[in-house]
Amino acid sequence: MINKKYKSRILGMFTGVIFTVIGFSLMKINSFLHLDLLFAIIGVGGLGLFGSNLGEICRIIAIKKDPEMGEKYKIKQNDERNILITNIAKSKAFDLLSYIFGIVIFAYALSNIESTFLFLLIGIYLLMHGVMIYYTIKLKKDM
Amino acid sequence: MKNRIEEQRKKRGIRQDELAKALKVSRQTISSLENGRYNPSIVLAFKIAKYFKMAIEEIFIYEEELEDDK
Repeated sequence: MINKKYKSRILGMFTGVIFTVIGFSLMKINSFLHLDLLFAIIGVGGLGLFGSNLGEICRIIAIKKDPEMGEKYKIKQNDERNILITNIAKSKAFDLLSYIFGIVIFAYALSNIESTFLFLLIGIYLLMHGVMIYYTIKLKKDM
Repeated sequence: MKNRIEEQRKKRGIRQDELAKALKVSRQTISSLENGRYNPSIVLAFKIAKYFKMAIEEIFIYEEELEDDK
């Protein structure tokens, strides 16, 4: 009987394969629609989905074969210093991304780009900061 | 904040990886704690104190002047 842990991962792998096949097939047969980029993204996304699920299956098998390694992995995952380091790295990356995004929006605003695309970028930028404000308020209430 | 983890560990003849395993943290965390590069959470501090059968303030030495300068 296939373990429950594997089931979702195998399903993920198959979904990845389907996306890859659909994405790249449509890219090949698509001559009238100019959606090459979209199909490429679907194909590459499928490959990513397949790879990540395959990696997870390999990890589960390795842990099953070597429980001590599994325990070490679990400790590393839950280690408070590792969690802190990851969170600091993420927050630094977010700060940098905010600056880069701001510069990109400014650069696009200076060039004659379609306003829809510019507003989309501004919307994403505001959404990012909106999420940050939401979690700041939520965590302030919780902690 | 200074601590006496290394001193107490060596006194008991325990290796870093053994202490890490007992406290369910990585060996690198023990190393960072001993070098004073990382201050533990209150939960981990209690775990360390419990492991050495000592009071927290016997292991972790709070230096007001140093902390205020930060």
